[in-house]
Amino acid sequence: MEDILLGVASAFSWVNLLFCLLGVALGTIVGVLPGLGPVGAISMLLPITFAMEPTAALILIAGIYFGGLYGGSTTSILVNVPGSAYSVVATFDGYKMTQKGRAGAALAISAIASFFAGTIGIILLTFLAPPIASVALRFGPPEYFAIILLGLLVLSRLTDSSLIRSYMLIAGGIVLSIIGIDQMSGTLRLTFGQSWLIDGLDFTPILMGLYGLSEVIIAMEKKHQKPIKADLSLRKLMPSKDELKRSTAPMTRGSFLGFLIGLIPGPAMILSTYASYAMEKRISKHPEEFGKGAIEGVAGPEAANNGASAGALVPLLSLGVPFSALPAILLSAFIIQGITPGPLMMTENPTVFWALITSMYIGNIMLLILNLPLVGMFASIARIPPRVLMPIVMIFCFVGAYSVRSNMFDVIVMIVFGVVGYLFRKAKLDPSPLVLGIILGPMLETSLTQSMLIFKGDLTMFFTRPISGTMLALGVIVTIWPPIYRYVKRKRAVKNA
Amino acid sequence: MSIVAFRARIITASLALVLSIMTLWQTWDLPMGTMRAVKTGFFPKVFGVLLLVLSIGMLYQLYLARHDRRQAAEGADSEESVNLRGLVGFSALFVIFVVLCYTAGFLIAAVVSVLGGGFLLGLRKWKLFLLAGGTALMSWLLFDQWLGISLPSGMW
Amino acid sequence: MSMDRGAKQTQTTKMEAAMRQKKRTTWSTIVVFTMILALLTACGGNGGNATNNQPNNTNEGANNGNATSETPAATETPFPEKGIELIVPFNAGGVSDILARSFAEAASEIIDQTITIKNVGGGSGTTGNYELVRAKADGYTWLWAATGHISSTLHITPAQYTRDDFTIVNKAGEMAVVVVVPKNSPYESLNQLVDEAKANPGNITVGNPGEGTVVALLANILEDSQGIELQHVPYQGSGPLLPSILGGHIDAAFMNVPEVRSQIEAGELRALAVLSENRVDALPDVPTSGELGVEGVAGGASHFIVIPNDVPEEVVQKIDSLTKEVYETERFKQLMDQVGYQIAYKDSADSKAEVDAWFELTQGVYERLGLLQ
Repeated sequence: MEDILLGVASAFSWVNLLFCLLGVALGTIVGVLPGLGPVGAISMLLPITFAMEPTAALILIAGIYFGGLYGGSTTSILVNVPGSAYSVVATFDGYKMTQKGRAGAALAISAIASFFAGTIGIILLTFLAPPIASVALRFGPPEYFAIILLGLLVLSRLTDSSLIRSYMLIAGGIVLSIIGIDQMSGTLRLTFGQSWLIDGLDFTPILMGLYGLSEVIIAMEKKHQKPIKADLSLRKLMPSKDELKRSTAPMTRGSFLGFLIGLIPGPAMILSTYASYAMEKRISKHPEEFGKGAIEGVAGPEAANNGASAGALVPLLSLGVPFSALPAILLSAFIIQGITPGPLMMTENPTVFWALITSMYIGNIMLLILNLPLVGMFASIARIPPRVLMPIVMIFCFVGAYSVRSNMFDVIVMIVFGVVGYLFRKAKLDPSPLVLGIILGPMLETSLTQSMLIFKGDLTMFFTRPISGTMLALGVIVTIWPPIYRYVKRKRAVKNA
Repeated sequence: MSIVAFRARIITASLALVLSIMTLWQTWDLPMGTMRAVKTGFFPKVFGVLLLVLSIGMLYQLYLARHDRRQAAEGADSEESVNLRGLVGFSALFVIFVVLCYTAGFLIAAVVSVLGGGFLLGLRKWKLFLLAGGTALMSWLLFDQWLGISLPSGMW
Repeated sequence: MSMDRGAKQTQTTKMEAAMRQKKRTTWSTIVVFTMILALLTACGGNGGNATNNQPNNTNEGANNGNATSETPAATETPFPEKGIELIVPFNAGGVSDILARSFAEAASEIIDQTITIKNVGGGSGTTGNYELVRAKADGYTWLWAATGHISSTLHITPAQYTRDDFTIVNKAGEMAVVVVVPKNSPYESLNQLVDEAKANPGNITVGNPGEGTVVALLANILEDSQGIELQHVPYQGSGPLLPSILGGHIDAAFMNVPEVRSQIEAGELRALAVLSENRVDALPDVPTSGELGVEGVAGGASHFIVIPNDVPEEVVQKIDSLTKEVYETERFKQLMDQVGYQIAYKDSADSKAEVDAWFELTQGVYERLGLLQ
């Protein structure tokens, strides 16, 4: 018991609190910049943490982690340019809110939702880590395949109800993800003999092109529009009572949904935002508002991605296994500091463990304290006329794309997809299915191949395993249901006529 | 739907069709493997075929709807028209950026791009130059110095 | 009349107000801009030092301005005089990355300059290796190399370099490969596993961290020597492999000791044998394959410090001696002990011999598997 108290107390020292603040601030800034994210920031600052004592170092990193998640949605809401893949969903309704003059409210709800989800996530983490971790272990390659398939089938129809179009874009995304070396066999696929295609296409430049650069090109058509009038009086900046009320339920749902999704390896944060948006739209009593500035569409996903980042820590802390890039870099930070996360962590290093947990709470609160006042400043960015703002966004996109692999090729890819993104906008097509296809394609293939090896070729085993069987069945139902429903309705209408 | 959207969709579906054909062509010889040991050709072929079918499907859908096109209403949503100056101008600007990065380095490329971008969007005179210089300097400081991402320096 | 004038006046005032608003926005933009600039210049001084001290040769043909090559003095080589870049050819968080970062941390006691880690993942390590090959030969860019991408991986992955395109300075240590099964697995010993595989070929699912890894190769060597057939399930690195074996989705797994050491100690995984010549310090109770009668299956990934060709001889010597000192520090030993890594220094010649031997050995294995490029 004293260990817990000791750990908690140490987190509250002045030095540590300062580091927490610094971490959150850094994280937010880095998150705002397109292309960069918490992973890059932490790995760059890792050497500095060597010189610090363990608790302080971990607190700093935790701060950056949470700050980065919040920062990404800032640009999404203000200028329709997502800072990272998990911020894309925030553009759907967040930017529309800015256009209506409610930028401050959107940003504030974003911060509040992040805080809310972070807190819930940490509580779940603290008390439920071991049992949840063992549930996470029940997911093997077949389950991953089922989830990804289900995800692709369900989430692709978010903003476009046409089966053919959405699935075509998914297929397109998956095909694009095949470019490069096949990890399983070492064969080169779709590289046309070009060496710069060997490592395939990275999805970050594609994302930045589709959403960011296309926004820059579109600016030409908006330049004659009046600049967005955002009312900067404090009362109008903050969300109204009604908006807050409408956000509560989505935030709660998003936190739990995100947490659950975070337990699964891979692009959990991206998936969680799409899943939450889909859920909120389905549950909402006024779904037609989604895509036009429904605050639920901002609150839910924002909570979801923070929930997912907390969920992703469960396997890391209780098993010592990182399920994606972000926990992986936390792992190396821990090990350098002499802490091996895993089943032995709570017994071997209880003080540090509890100090870490406490500092995550503090980091979360710090996020809110830091960012709520800044909402005003951020919101005023939306008032900068596009002829000034867009060139800056353009340069940031260039550098962001370049920074992914220190490679000019990625910038070229981004430009190509910038034009494609413009095309999509004119066609009134949502690029999300394409993006989902590119991101989830590799995992889909890997998990399928592995599953078949594990099953020794027996396909029925997908359905005999409880978890994968349920999900696949759900996927089938979800896909077949709408067309059948429409057919039945039509038949009935004809009969009644 | 508007003519612009219609045409844009045709272009998209055609691009998808081309992609699917290229994929199938390139991966034709890759082994499919067995059920037990799925090999490297399986995925590309399956999704290549899927993409092919779906893109043809979309084109067919558009063909069926070809009489539903209509001209964009007067003064309607600006998204209904294509601003050629913007599209070509910015595309050219992007290409210029890449070329300049290779030859003259990031700083110069950034300055020129912002000059071009701001100009296209209507910024003029001292504000334009200030923006260009300021942005280039700020991004260099931020990314190169502070974050340690070394930016291309061309021939220097 | 008066109405018109009144209206016109209101109009003018409105326009003036609008223009003032516009001017205010412009000025506030400029002010914000300048503030940010000032902030960055202030921070740039501080932050820049820790992370950006050395030349990066990441662009084809591009060259950063601040690279100056060292002309060694007559007797004492003034090395290092600026920060060193250590390329890690894998993504952050993996075992090799953790080892490299531990090395960098321990090195801060011996080497005055900062060692900055640069992760360049891809191509099973060949992308990062290629970057090192193209780096300036001034001794300030090192590569934390694993056995794979400087030898066996070249059999199956198209890489842009050959084994002659770089210089191995020395060997830091090695990781043994261990065969693990879930805690409630029916297999109590390696022999049991082998017998079962003989009885039912291709039935036992065995995970490995990737087709081209040293670990997977050892699994193949085991198959060859015992005449058995296992069902290999490759994963994208040991990250995804670990939860699969912990969850019992596969029957067994071949992994590196550092990756599973804490799991074995906590009883979550059972180690059947280590595939090395001698017992491993980190797992003293686990028998070696040789002890169990399974001969000839020993090996594992080693790590080396690698530099580009044509670095001046004195600098190479200095790098060798400095890094050797680091391997011998208490801090390094402590960190390696914590992860379960075996420190085992070998000089340049011995290292090259080890790597070449492995290259020869794996050629045969890959030929049999039909994977040669």
